[in-house]
Amino acid sequence: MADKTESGSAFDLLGQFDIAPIKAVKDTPFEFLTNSALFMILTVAVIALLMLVFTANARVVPRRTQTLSEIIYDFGFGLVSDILGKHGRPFLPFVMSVFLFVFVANMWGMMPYSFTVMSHVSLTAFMAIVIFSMVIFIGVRRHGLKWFSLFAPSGVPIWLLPFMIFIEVLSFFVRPLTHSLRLFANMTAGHIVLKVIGTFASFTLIGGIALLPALIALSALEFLVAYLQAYIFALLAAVYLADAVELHH
Amino acid sequence: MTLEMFKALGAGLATMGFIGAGIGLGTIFGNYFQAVSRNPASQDKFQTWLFVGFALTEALGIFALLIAFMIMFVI
Repeated sequence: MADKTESGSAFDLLGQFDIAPIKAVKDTPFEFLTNSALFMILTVAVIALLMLVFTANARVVPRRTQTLSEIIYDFGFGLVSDILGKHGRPFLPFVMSVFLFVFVANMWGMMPYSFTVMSHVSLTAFMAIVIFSMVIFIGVRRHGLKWFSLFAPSGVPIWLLPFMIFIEVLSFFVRPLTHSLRLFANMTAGHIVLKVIGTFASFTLIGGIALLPALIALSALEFLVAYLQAYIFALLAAVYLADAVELHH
Repeated sequence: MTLEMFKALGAGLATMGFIGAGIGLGTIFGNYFQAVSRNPASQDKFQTWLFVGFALTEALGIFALLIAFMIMFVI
């Protein structure tokens, strides 16, 4: 066990997140493909299969494949109408896209030997910044300069108001930070934990047998986290967009 | 003691911020289960906001993680 740790290969916990070109497509027109890009394309392919192919020739009495698409649609519809209400209908496609992209990418990440796209903060930060800019843009377009009254909560004594505005502005501008870091940190940490337990299990036969139930339970938990983080990412996108859609005081 | 060792020590200490996030999450979920077991009809109404509260509480723990990352990789 000691020499394994010294060689460094057994405890290469972050190696699974390395972005590298795919060797199989070298010297072909597809040379630009990295493992990250490949799994993003696969993610979009699965979503297209679910949402376009399964709903082609849609019938009043749905078949099995169409029912699957309808369940997913109902889920997104419930999420958006819960938070954004009637005015939120135009944002349904956006929130659905965000949810499905994160969810399917996380599910691809749970496959052995696959690449977890959402384990890179560059991608999650990009998505969070797009949502953050959308909130400001739509808010100002719908309400004009009145939208900035969002930062001044009503019913606050006048001497407390500057302090409240400072806190509100601060909490508004850290939103993209936490929004992106939550997804990234959860996916990365979960996969590292799986790798650590898996490495321990691979040292000895008895240890492997003893740790097998723990590994199965952790994998199940990791599937739950993959779904939950996708749900929370889309839910928070909807909650943030609600600020732009309606000014309620 | 080298600088690397102090960095590792500091990053480990910085993750203690998750103690608070853990207490907060326990409070949120505990109160949610209490509310739902007292009034099962309210489950759907609270579920969405349960996860919003979960995300907002976890955000404070994530700040601690951010500090740990900064100590390890940025400074």
